[in-house]
Amino acid sequence: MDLDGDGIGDIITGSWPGELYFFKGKGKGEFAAAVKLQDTKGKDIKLGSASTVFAADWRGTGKLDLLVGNIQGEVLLVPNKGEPRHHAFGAPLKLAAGGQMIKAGHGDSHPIAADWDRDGKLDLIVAGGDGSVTFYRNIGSKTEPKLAKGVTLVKAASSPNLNDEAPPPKEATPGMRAKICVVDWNGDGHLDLLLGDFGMSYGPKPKLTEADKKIEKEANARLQESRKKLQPFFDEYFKRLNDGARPDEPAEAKQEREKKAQEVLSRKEFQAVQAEQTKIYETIRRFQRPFSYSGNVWLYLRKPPAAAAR
Amino acid sequence: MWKCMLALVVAGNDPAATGLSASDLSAPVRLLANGQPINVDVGHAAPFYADLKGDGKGVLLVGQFGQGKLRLYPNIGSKNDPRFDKFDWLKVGGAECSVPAG
Repeated sequence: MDLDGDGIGDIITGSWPGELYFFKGKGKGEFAAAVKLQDTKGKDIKLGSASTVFAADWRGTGKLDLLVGNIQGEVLLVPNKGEPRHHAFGAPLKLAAGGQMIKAGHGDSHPIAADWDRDGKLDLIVAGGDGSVTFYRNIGSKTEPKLAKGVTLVKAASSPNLNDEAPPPKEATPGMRAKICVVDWNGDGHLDLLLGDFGMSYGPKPKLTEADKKIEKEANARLQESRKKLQPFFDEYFKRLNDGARPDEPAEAKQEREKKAQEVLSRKEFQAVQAEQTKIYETIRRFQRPFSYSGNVWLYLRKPPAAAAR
Repeated sequence: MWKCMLALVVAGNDPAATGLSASDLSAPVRLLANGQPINVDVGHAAPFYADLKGDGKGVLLVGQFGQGKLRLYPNIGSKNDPRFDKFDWLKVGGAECSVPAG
């Protein structure tokens, strides 16, 4: 996206802590070192962790605004109140659709803008942590977008149960934490959808002997026991962490509380039980399905409207 | 046909009426690079496609969780039939760059 209007594509990205990064394009595929995007007050734009960002002329001003997603699943519009080649980002505004604040499934929203229905106005498409993709049609105008209630384009992904006996799926399917891009992939004049995921592929549940089943059962019982043993430590940890917390307290006081709380988790008794629990998990793991993570890019080609309407 | 679609759009927001729904999309297929599905480190693929090089063919950018890095797959196919082989990491001044991923 050409955020600085110099005719060269730039890259903007969110991050886990939440800040937004701008890699200025220098042409020939070269980029300048990243700088954090800031608002008109000179503060880093940070609207929640696991941020995502997309630049689009959402308000029809001829300048690129930002659409930002976060771990809560919200969609925020950061209006660009600057000049065409000088962005100046104002106060963020949460977007609603069909009279309700947008909330992506399982949080981790990734909003993008595209004229999906080809009516000349930008629509909103939001991917979510559950792997779903929702289309919000702009039923307002180019300069005053208004979003209709969402329509599901991609359903939430199913998450596998590592303990059941069902055979693993023959074919991989799109996973969770969808991140999307809309582009006319095959040049047929219709926008298509790319979806990146966090997938999990897994094998069959191992065949367990009677002896295995006994070990598994015992391990589960020991797991319950170790959880019980750990609970008082966690109770004490949170008690110390929240004891005397005030919204206006100095940073030092907060650090002091965190230090006192951390002391509980550094105790030998706690660490011994925790180490034991790790071993129990390893045992249980042996009897679960083998699995591995993936991050694939899926292409959903758009059917021509005539075919889709049938 | 177009008149018909237009009428439906004007008629209201009923997604079934406008045909704008999941049925709009074909079944998903995984994009390949060098004959294998693109599979980024520690998952969490985040794709973007743009003509970054200005050659009219486009570059597939795929962000990943692993070290918060970004892959650039140049299109070695054609404009209307993109194909991918090798990727480069996004670099600044010759050094791989990243954003905090976790």
